[in-house]
Amino acid sequence: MSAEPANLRRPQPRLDDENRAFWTGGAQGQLNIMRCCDCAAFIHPPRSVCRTCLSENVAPEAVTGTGVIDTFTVNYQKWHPALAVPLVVARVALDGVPGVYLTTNIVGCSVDAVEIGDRVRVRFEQQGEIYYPLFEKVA
Amino acid sequence: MPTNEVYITGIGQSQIGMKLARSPLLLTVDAVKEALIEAGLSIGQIDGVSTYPGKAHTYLGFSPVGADELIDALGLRTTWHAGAAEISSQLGAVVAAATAIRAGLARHVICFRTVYEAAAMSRPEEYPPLRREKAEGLSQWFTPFGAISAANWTAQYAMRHVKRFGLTREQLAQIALTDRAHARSIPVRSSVNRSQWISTCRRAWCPRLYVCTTATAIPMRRPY
Repeated sequence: MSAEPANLRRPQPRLDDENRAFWTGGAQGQLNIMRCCDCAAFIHPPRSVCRTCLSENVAPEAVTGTGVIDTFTVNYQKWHPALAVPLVVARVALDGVPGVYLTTNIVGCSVDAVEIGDRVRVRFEQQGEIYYPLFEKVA
Repeated sequence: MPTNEVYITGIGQSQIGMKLARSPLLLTVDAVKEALIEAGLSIGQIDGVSTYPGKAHTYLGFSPVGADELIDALGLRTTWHAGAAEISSQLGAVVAAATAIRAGLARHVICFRTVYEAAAMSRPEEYPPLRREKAEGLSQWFTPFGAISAANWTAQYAMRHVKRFGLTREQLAQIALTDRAHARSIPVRSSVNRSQWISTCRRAWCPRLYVCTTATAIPMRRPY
């Protein structure tokens, strides 16, 4: 477990059978997205049933972890004690994962350097057992 | 006349302000009284109550008054009521009321929404802020990254519009200022003025969360 007081951590998801692979995949450096083994549709947020074909034969699959900034906003208001401002909140379209957009943060660059269409790759931030998938710009 | 029509018969609004001392329940009662006067109804005619999202016990600033509480406080004799979070926000409560009226579950329904976020911020002991240590359910996909408010969510859509169509910051601000101009034509006792509004606009783009405290109520009925 990490040493941060609870209020200085990001809000922590409660792990269950549906979301565990997503939130802990970073331990293996993997961004895991649930996928239907029958019709191949990706299912995010992850569910134990495929919303396309209703199959229960679903499993997490490691994806490339790269993508494109679909849109973003810059938070100047401090919404949470664990999240320093200014903070880029972004929606990232994942490569090879049609229809899936992750809400995340863009880190590792000035907030002024962020633009729609920028290519990004995942970078995990660990707090306790959770590995938050953040994204940084690809040089 | 179609038999499935439902009418909004009035509207009432309490005092609006950033640091009101009046309790959220009394603000709600103020709004209901005003709405009843406009509708020409007595309290005894109300047989339904609809609200969003119901009392939020862990986040009282967001919703400090529930349907049960209002029914009890006003001594209403209701045949139907609802306070639900998984509906389309304030308008979801209106739709629920219309649906209940059409189904014959009630004749005169009071719809209300009371927000106390600004007042709550100035009295955190009484109205503690929401603790966001855990991210439950759908919120786990947003709150860990600081996308906590509707302002953060809609700002992303707005930014895409800005980048794609060249909307300027000044044009966006004009929407808010026009809203304020229209609001000034309504005779409410607002303690918020233009300079306070502008001061919240300084930094960024996009939807500013305009935190306020007020209660609004509307009576709805089926055709006589």
